[in-house]
Amino acid sequence: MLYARSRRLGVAMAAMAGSTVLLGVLGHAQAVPVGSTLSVTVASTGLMGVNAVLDRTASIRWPPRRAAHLIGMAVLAGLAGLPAAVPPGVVARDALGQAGLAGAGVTLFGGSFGWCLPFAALVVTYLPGLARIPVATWLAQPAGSTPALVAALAFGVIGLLTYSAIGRGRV
Amino acid sequence: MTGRVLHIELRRSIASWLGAIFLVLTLGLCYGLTGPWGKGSGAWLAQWASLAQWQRYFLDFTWPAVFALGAWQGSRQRRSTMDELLSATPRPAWQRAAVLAGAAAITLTLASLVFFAIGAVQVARSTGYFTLGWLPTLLVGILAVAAGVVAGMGIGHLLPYLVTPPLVGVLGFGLMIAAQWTPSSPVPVRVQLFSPVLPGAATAFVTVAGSVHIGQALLFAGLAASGFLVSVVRGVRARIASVLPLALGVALALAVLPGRPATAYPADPGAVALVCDDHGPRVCVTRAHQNLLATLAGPGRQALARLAVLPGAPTTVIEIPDSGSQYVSLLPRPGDTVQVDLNDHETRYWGFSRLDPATLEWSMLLGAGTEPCATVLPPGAGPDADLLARVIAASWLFDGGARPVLADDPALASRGPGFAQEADAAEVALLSLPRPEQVRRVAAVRQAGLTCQGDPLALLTRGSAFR
Amino acid sequence: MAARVVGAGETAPAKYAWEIQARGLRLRAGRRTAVRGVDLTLGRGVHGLLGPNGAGKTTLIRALATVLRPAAGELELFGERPRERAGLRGLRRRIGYLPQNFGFYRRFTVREFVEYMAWLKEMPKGEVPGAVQRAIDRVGLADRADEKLKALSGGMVRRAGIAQAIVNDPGILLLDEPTAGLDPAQRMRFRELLRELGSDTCVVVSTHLVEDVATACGAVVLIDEGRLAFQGSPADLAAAGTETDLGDSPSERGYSALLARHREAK
Repeated sequence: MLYARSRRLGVAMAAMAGSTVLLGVLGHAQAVPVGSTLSVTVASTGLMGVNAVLDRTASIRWPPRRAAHLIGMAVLAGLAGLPAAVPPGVVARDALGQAGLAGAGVTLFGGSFGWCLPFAALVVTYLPGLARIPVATWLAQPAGSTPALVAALAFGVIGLLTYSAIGRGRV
Repeated sequence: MTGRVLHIELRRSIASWLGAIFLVLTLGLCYGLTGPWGKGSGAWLAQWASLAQWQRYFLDFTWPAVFALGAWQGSRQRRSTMDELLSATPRPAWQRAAVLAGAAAITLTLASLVFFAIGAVQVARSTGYFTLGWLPTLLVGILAVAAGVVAGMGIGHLLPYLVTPPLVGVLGFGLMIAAQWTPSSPVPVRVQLFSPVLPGAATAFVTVAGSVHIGQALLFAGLAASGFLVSVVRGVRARIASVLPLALGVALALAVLPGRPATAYPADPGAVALVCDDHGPRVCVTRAHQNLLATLAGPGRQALARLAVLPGAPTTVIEIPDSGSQYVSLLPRPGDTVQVDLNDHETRYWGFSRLDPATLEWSMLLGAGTEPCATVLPPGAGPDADLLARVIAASWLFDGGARPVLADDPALASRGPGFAQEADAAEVALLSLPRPEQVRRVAAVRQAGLTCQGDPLALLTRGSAFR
Repeated sequence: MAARVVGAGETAPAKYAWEIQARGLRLRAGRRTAVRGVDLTLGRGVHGLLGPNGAGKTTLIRALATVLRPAAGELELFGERPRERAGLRGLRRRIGYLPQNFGFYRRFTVREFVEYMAWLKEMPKGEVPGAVQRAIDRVGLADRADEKLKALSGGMVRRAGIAQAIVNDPGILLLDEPTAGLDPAQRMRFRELLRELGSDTCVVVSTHLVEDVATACGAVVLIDEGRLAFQGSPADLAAAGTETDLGDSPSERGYSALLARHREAK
């Protein structure tokens, strides 16, 4: 419970609720990339504890806990899309990939800039020059797109591995 | 001393990173990717005005990031628990905020200018048409970027949380793409113009209306003022009041900004004016393309010579500015003129590289020297009966059918093998007719092109206007 | 101590008797009244501000730093009330302040940070580089002056905080828990610095460490539950205690005795 509080669970939940509302109001498949990015980037600020030194001294085994945190984040971000009239597969895929990117981002750039990678993925989705490359614009691909699923899985796995193993970049 | 502190902020705040990221992102986008900015007569390196407009187009992808990073910088004071120490110092808070905002504005302005300068080197080489029309576009863009970072700082100062930057960035980006989801967007044009993003120059002849510059300048000045005030004032009431400049900016912008795209992006009268070569049959190009006059004159006269076999043959070649494909059917089509649109999808300027004499001449013979009557589908879009007739007429005029129709034209070849075979078969059939009948049919294609009546393919293959 | 340019304002005869003068001062910390009627006169010299946790030390220092407005009573700094807006700016130029929760910009170097604070204190441009160097020298950070603050240890950061407080040669220097995080050698150097500063400055040092007060301060102010419990010399403080009072040194025993007496009196 304390862990949840210290990692800004409340804020993350609020953002996910906001993203649900956003998806619900727009009810548009094109809103999914924005919604999932919103949930994940906000939640990503909780991936890094307030005090890195304190965390390091704690006698918990961090890797499994970090992995659980990231997976939980992806699941919640995926659930956030369920009430809206958008394909659940797309929401789940986007949530998974973005959560992975957030994990990698936090590992690379620290808690305050972990959102950079998911945000970059969102921007890339709308670049006109990349519209015909499904791997680059995986966030906006329709349900059942294999390249997009592969990209999301790859990002998810990379993010999960780097974040749970290394966990923290520059704070 | 303020200079020294500005120097410190330039080095230690996010300012220098911000400028570098902004520049690298923008350069990476336009050099690293192929997009609409590289195509047509309004390509970003083709004209001064185009460069400035495309630079504004890229703000779609960089402006939200500027906002988000500004928000991060704006939360520095609270994040570092400097409030207590700072509130005991005599220097007014606005000076502190001004130096920080100034540092970010300086680097972003520099980045914008450097980008423009890099493009300008190439633009200066590729066009002979220069006015200062690009200047307000560039300046309003710089104001928008600076206002973005200052407003971001204000938000970050007001809400100094870790979640603020990503929230601002993602929501901002979402709003910006939502405003531009489709051309038939439900968002009114006036509100779309609240975004600093311009659609980019489709042709060399598009400019941005002064009312757009004024409205946007007012809006972004208001945004910057509000962002700055929020960073400076204390107390709830003062903070609420600091939204006033933005509200004022929005109100003024709504009053000033045009409500229709055609008013917002009018034609540039200077660019569409004609420059002519009268040494021989007259060949004219627009001022925007004046340094193409020599390139166009030879092939243009060659084309006129080939068209001379037709009765009532044209005697001049005139470049028509692309008026946007939706207006192509409204074009006046004088019979004594070969109209050349260097920006259409058929063969000419599209892709920006194929301006060799043979291709130019070929393109002027399409449809026996006429412009298409309907929007031409882009390359790769499949068969197009009108285009088929236009191509066969060009081929007949060009070399009397000596070579296969599509030999020279990869853009047409991309429409598929069936298209090529059909064209070849039709040309063989045409060539089997007596010579006067061939001339009559090709002249009929020209007439159809001038009046936009009748089916050119039927005229060519059957000699009558109906299939 | 290095020579410095003496401003015209400093050579003019002082128009006030005491640097700090408070009468019936009441202060609020949030909704709680943290200081309830304190009369205080402090002149040049080092004044140790003692008191248990929650006694109102920090609140009092915040008011002296002009951050907090008095809820009632009178407060005069350099003979002026820190209420009028224009006057406040002039007053603040002559105050040095190290807050208890000392925040700083992690990316700045020590020198840049002290320079930045000198700018915020509106020091004349020409004086800044010399004053910054002198302040850094005095806290013993000269060899780390061009390192970033985030690379410094906690004690060094405190010293950087002291450097920014003294950079403008303040007439009133307010240090809230300055010795927290300093090692013993540093503490002794710091006391030395305090005595030096006290010769021409009114220094107010809040601390929990009675020993610091006993050795470095010329006067002691003891507050408890928002009221003045004692004001006198360190010798008076030590003399107040008896063998039966809690503490390991005469000053500590005096501290315990005075506190107990003050609480009984209420």
